[in-house]
Amino acid sequence: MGKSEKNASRSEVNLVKEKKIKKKVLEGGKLLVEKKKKISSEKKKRSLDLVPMPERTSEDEDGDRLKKKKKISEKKLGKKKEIVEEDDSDLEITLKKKKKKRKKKLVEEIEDGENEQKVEKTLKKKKFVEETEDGQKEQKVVKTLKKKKVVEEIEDGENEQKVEKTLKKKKFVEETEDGQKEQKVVKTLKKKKVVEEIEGGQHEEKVEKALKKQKKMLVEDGNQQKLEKKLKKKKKEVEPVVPASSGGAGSGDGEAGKTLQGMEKWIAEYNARRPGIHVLQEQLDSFIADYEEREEQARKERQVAASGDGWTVVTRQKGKRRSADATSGIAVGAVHAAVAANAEKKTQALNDFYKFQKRDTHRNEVAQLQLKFQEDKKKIAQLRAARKFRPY
Amino acid sequence: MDSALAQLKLEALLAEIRVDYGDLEPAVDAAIEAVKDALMKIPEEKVPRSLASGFLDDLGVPEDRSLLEFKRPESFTLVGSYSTRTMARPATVVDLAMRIPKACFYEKDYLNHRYHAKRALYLAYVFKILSKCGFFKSIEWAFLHHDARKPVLVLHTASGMFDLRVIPTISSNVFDISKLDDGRSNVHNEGTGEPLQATPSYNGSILEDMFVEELSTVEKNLLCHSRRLQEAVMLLKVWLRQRSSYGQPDTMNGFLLSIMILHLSSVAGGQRLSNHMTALQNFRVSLEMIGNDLPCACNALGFRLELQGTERRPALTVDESRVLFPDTYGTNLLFRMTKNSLKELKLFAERTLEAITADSGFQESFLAAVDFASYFDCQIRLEIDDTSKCDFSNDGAWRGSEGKAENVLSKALKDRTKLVRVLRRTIASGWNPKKGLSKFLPSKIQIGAILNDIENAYRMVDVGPSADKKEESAKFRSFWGKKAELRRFKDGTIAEAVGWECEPWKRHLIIARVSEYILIRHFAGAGPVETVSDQLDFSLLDKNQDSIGSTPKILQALEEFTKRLKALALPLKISSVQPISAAFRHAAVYTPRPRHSTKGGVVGVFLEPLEVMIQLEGSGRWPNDVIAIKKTKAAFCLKIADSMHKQWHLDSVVSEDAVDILMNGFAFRISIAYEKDPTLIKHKGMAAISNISIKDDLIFHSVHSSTLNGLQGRCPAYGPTVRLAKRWIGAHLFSDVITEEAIELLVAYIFTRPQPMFPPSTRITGFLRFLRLLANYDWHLSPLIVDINGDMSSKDRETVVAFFEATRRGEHADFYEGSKGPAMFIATSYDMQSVTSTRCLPLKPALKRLVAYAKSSAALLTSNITGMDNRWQSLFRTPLNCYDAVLVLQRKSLPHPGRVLFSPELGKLQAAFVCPDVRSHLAFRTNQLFVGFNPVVEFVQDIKAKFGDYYDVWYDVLGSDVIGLTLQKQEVFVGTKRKRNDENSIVENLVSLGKGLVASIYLKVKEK
Repeated sequence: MGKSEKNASRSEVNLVKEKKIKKKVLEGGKLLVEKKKKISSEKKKRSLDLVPMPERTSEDEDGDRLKKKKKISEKKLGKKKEIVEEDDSDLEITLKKKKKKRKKKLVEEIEDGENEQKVEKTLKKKKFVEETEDGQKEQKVVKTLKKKKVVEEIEDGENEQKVEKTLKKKKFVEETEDGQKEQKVVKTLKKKKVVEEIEGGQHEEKVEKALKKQKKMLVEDGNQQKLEKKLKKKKKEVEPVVPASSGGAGSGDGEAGKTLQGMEKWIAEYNARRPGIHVLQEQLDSFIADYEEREEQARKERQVAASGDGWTVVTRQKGKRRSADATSGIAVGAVHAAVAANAEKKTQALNDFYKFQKRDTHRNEVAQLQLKFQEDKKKIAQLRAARKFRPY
Repeated sequence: MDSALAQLKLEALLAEIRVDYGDLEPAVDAAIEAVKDALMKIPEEKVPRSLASGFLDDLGVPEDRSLLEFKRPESFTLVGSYSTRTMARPATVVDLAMRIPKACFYEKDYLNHRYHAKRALYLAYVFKILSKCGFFKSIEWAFLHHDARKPVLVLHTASGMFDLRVIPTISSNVFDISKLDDGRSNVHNEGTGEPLQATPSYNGSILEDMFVEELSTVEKNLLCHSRRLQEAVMLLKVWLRQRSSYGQPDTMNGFLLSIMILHLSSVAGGQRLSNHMTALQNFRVSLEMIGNDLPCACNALGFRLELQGTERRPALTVDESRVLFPDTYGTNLLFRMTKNSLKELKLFAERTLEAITADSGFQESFLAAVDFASYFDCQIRLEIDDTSKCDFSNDGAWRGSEGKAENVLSKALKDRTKLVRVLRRTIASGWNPKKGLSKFLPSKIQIGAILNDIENAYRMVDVGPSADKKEESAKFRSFWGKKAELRRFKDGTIAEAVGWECEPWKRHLIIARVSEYILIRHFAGAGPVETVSDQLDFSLLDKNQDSIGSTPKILQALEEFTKRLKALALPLKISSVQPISAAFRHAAVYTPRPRHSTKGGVVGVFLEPLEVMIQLEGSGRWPNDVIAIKKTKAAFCLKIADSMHKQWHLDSVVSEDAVDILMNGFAFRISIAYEKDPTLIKHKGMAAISNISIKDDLIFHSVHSSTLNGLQGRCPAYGPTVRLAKRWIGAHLFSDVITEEAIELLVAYIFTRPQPMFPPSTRITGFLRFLRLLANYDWHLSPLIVDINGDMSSKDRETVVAFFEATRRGEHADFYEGSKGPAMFIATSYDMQSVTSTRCLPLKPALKRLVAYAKSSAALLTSNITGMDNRWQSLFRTPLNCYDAVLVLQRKSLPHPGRVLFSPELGKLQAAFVCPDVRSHLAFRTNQLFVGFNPVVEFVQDIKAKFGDYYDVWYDVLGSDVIGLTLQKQEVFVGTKRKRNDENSIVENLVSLGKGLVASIYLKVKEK
């Protein structure tokens, strides 16, 4: 849901603000398009086949959606998000068909849509940016608009690229992806921390460590499962790129990754999941090492936090618990067998001591039986209706 | 079966079968009046032989012995179930006894079928008159208890409310009773000089006519006023009707049942039944009598009818297979019964009694069909040409060959079988006495056999008498013919023996081989012997060979693998290694074959992994976090794989969620069970159910696996049956409808709760019962409790039922996919809430479809088994015209092209895309080894991801080359949205999704 929800909400906001902004957009649109083009070409030079293709398409889709939104809004403004999404693919298809006729128009519209988004985002400030997945591009746009805080992020983005590059050399493809994704997700949740950390460590290795730390936090986070789901979804989206880069077939062009489908894709996926025992081992080892370290740190932090007020917190020490009493052999917390039996007897004896108790239990039993009989009757009636008793 | 619920059920059942006599009575009276009117008016004249010429010729009665002067019937009496008010629907036949006057017969007419000839002539005359009277819609000839000597008339009334059956009788003083004793011979082949043979059955057929009315009066007197006894008779009738032998001439019938009840309630019968007991109690006591003591009960039947004075002993030796009463001197009412049919009845009763407990047994007693196809393990058909000449001497020659077949087979199969039963042939309708009988007798004999335990049944050698015993050896040799040979056995004895050696996975065919051989040997000129044995084996072949043969290798490899695992030096010791995969317990449709690496790498591309669960010794250092546990497990698996490589040089293919270690050509997929795993939470009690998918629930799998392994040990037919069931599910593209574990449990139910039948011993019978279970079980209203080890107490069952009812009311909705609980609720002792195997699957609409398929397949299989049909392959051929789109896959891309059963029959489907070039598949067909990789599954996932909201996907994980898509019928997609959802673009999308796999796509032709 993550992505689609966001898209939907984003475009809804668009709709609301559409009229207000329209003028602005129309004016600023062209300008922005030009700027964006510049940026993207720059980025192409810089980024080494890293801009994930699906993101590009998602951007296109955004445009589609916006166009679609307009259409719908003409009919009905408050239509459900779901339906709109489901029709995305259809729309794509119809668009393809009518491509020749409407190509020009369409391109304009899509670009318009993008621009609208950007503009809005600048209006809605940071919060919006956080939510966007394709952080990189938006960041670029934001860059042009010169927001201070976001600049940091762009640096951060560049870092990512660097990191990934080096990681790829080491064939840590999967890990990188994970890192990339997780980074983004974590960013949206715990942005500040991450940024600090990454800024602090310009060194590659440090960055790597930071990536793991984010993972750590990921795990620590209360919303673990949600995040996991998000990760999975994202993995699927990004996956087509994997074989291209890992197999060395794609020469860095995003298009190559997109066309990989069917048998080739599944085989590539199969192979990608099996990078070799040592690679996997290293990944897991580092995960576990980090997990332990994080646990330890969390424990310490808790202690520090707790003792901050001048109190010393006494915590249970790890180790084997005493499970049985050394002398009697009775388990800790357990009741002696004789005592337990006695207690049971007592409660039993008390149940039918008074006359009214007996009467009550009897009445209950009868009621129970009657109820059961009624239920049985109902059941039989059902079966009879289904002709279950006809032996021929 | 004494609970209040059972009483309610019984009432419902009786209401279904009871006949309203208030409505019936006037109609019956009117019909009888009509008969009387017609017959009492006519003149008494000589009846010409031509009225029944064919029949009389068959009987061999010469013209001068069959002169009949027609006299008006002495009396008309209502007899049988109508008179005793024990008719049970759907049979509504009113029996009318028409007494032929004594004056029609001579004193010696009991000899040589003369009585029967005159009886038929008389009846033919009545037929002529009644067909003129016009009261009845039509009149038909039939036979009393399928006895070809004794025709009767069936008059169909216009209202259709009932049929009137006219049974000719004679009064008890027509013939001398002492001449008609069991041991007398009354059919003399004059001039042949053959020694006389006793003719008990012939004698009985005359005596029967003499006493029918008398017996009926006694019956009437007792039963008319005893409602409970009436009901007991009706229940017994229903019980018998559900058994395969119903309607057989040599077994019990309604008449005999009521006589039995009569006897058991009399002083002579010990007053075991009475009107004060409930109908169910009476029913149960009667069953006990049939089960334990029928000869005694029958004995007493004779006693009841004891005739005064004369002491009569069998004068001649009587055929061994007859049921006789050597110690009493009454009329043998069971003269048609054979010892074999008696044994069969006994087994029926025993099995039924086993099923009857306090809260169950109703279904098994009255509603479950115990028919020929599903009751017997082996069905054999023999075509004999014995009907061209009709020889009526003692029962008729055809009955003789039936008996012979039964004897020969019983002798040949010995203790391989519990029971061998030849179904008696019945005369086809449309007969009339002008025609000969021969054309109306079918030439095929149906034989059924129930196997003993498999050790005996599939024995490879039949050991005969030792060589020293000359006489017995000679007998043995003459019985077995060429097959008999002298053999020296391990213990040093030398004996005659017959060998049936074969490969281990063909042992289930031994019974068929033995019976084929022996029947052909003993029935010269018999047509081909057809046996139901291997007709479905084709579906289990992988590259023309049954892969089950590699199971021993797998088990051996597992043993070695376990040893090596335990020898590893690991931080935590391995405490146990447990097989999980179905392949370890003979239950996988296709068992992986070993793939050996050669110089060029590994031969063969696809390998299915064998799952193995590893338990480690306890440790306090496991993390608490779910993901961390998972990662730790993975790390440990990797560690094991690494150590296996270092220590034993075993290669492995590893990913984070699947670690496959290659050994002896197999791939062992290891997974680690951790006892404090959160998946365990649910086993703590009824209330706490965790949402762990079945794949991850290792604990369930380990218990499931070991329990079913035990069952396989007890019932060797379990494995093959499961394999057929799974194959069937797959072949009809239901892989995504029901889990494998659920199939295994369904089949296990057949074996653990086979009553009122025996557990099936052959795959085809097992498969038929599986289909019927699927088709007939009331999935909505009751849970299926599979108690494999018999360790569920009645309290457990109650809990399950209560829980089930609660889920159907909508409680516990959060545990299951549907709000009313799973569509199919299968409870086991290790999964009482049916959460694991059926929580998500099947969904209700899919189950409906599954049930419909099972129904039609069961019907087809039944007619195949009984020889009415011979389309075995159609069972696994799925109709493709019910899908909106059919994707045909390229065989070359399938992991196991040898497992495709048929090429798809596309019929009228309209081709929307055909792959232009079936190219080679790049890296696909190289020497790379893929463990547990199935492109079809990947493809289906992709389709679901993209079109899951529009289409349901139906596929076969085992090896069909088609995938079916059906449109989901939801309103959302109707209207403008649907139109835009252009089919072409969907096809395009599907093609690109399945690039390299899809060969062609077909669409349903739209109806206009």
